[in-house]
Amino acid sequence: MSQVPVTILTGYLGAGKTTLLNRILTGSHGKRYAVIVNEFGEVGIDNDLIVDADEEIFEMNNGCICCTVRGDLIRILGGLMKRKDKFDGIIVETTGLADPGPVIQTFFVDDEVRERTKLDAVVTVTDAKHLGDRLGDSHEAEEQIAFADVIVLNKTDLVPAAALAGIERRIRAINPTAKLYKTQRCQVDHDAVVGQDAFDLSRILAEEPDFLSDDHDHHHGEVASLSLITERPIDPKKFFAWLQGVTATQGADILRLKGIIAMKDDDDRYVVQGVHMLLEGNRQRPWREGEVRQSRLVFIGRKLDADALRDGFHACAA
Amino acid sequence: MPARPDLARPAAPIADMFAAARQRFAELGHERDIGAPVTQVLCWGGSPAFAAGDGCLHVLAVDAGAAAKIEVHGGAILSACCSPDGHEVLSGGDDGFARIVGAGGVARGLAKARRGWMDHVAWSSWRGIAFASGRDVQVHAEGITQTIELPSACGGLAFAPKGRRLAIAHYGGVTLASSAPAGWTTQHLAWKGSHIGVTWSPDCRFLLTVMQESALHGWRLADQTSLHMGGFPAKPRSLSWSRNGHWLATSGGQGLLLWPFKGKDGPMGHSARQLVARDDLASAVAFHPKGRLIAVGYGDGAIVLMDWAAETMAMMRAPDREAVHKLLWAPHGAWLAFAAGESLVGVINMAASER
Repeated sequence: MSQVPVTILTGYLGAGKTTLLNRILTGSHGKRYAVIVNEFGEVGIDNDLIVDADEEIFEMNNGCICCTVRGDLIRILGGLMKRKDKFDGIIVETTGLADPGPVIQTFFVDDEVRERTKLDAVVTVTDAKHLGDRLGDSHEAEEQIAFADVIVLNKTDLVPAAALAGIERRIRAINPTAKLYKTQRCQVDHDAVVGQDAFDLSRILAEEPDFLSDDHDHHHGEVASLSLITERPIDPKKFFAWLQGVTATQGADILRLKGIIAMKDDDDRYVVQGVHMLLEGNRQRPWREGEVRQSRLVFIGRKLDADALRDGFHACAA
Repeated sequence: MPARPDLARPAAPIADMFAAARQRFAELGHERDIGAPVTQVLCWGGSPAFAAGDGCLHVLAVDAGAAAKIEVHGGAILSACCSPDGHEVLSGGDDGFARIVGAGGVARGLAKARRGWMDHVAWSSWRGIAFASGRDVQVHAEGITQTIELPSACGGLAFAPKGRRLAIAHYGGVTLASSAPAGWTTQHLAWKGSHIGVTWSPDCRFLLTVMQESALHGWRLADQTSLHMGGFPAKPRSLSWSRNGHWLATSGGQGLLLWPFKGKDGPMGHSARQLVARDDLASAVAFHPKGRLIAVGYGDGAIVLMDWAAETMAMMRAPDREAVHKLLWAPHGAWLAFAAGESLVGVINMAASER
């Protein structure tokens, strides 16, 4: 059974979500999408199949306190899969105030959703003029940047170049790995947003945008990122025990994590990703000849204890 | 989970068993691809009928050959059930309508959702009708319609086999509606988590729900004692009661699981009987309406009839295909209908097997 890719579109009200959505839908790509919206905005959405959802956050009884899912999405995705006419993708537009966590976790937790759909990417639209204020006053604006695989920094024409550079630095401090596009009126290619496979383990950190060359942490707002790096081979036993412990105890504060690990005596790259307490990992591909066998791990989260995480990571060396 | 296995494995080599199943199916059964996902299997006017994602009700003849379809909804049929006499079909669709297909095959509209899809429908033995769209449940009985608002979207509806009660599953538990002279009154049975299906025991002593976390939850209604059955590798979506109500068969486990409901405590303090004839997950189960046979569909497409008292089995459809997800017996056991994979529907003529 083929899996339908799902794009999650986030961004606070007025950033340009619906503009981007209509750009994706009306591009000359010939693809058909089902769109799930949480609020009918004033701007019309140009699509045949629009499903109106009521955000329902469900806690899972799996002993994981931060494990919440979107119950309405489980129901709607199940219903969409019953249709005879199929589509090339599903786009979920969240409300401006939505926490992307439960939406993402829905695609990891429910077996039936997993079997029929796959999370393609979290795309966050933000506007250059207001992002600074939003990051100061809105918890959600930070989270939407933190969870993103693709960030569309819109309305760049409304701010001077120096201010834009400052905004970009703030985005990078929260999320060093997302692809970042600077746009006006959300002018970005369809293929830059859709078809990202950002949650596919084989593509984790494949492009490594702006990856720092040594350990680095950023502390500006509440949500921060921490990049860890080592060239000493990692002991898998120590690493799994440490990482599982970290996500079990600090999962509520860890929004996302991604890593490429060079395990001792292993010629394959090991990749790992996580959302809150959910972790998955696998061998990806052999290390290439001449490729530096470096282990890199990025945490994006709240109240990250950089020193403890760094020490823990380096203690995993074989 | 209980210890396994207690069912004798067939002595014949597996290849022979599959060959025999293929031969049996060629003689007694037939199947076809209807080109749309199947949402419900029904016995409509004595024939196997399949509600599907193309908005149609597809009807198969028990013996190979004729097939018909009736257009009912503009989009997918999301749920369907039969009238108590089996002559009419009630369906809900993603076009927002609840419709009734009469004996002559003509569909008529019954209601339209305020907004969104018509997700669930139910028909009671005394001809009460209920349907749910998101958080709204409407109950039609004796010409009066009443709306019950839920705290979250409906996950499943079931009328009690006896008495005028309706169970509505949702996040956080079950709303139990009872018919009273002044209208329907509701009572909440709370249990943390998302409840995505509901069934009554035939004697109405127990109410059970399917949970998002691959478990069954239940209540003994007399005192609202909770019972919880967990450890399923997959969601136990397919549930079937034995005719006398002593056993509940469930899918979602390795092989067939039978939970005892004869005693006053139901399965509390007892373990399930597990009949493992094959190393695959049971994906659909259906008790024969009369005998002690039970049909089990598997994740690999096999359909097996088990005589669980005698511990014998016969494979009716060979594996190596997509999962069987629905099974339905005709009321007297004359045929067994199934849905498998994305869009396969079929029927096995059991009357012919007895000749």
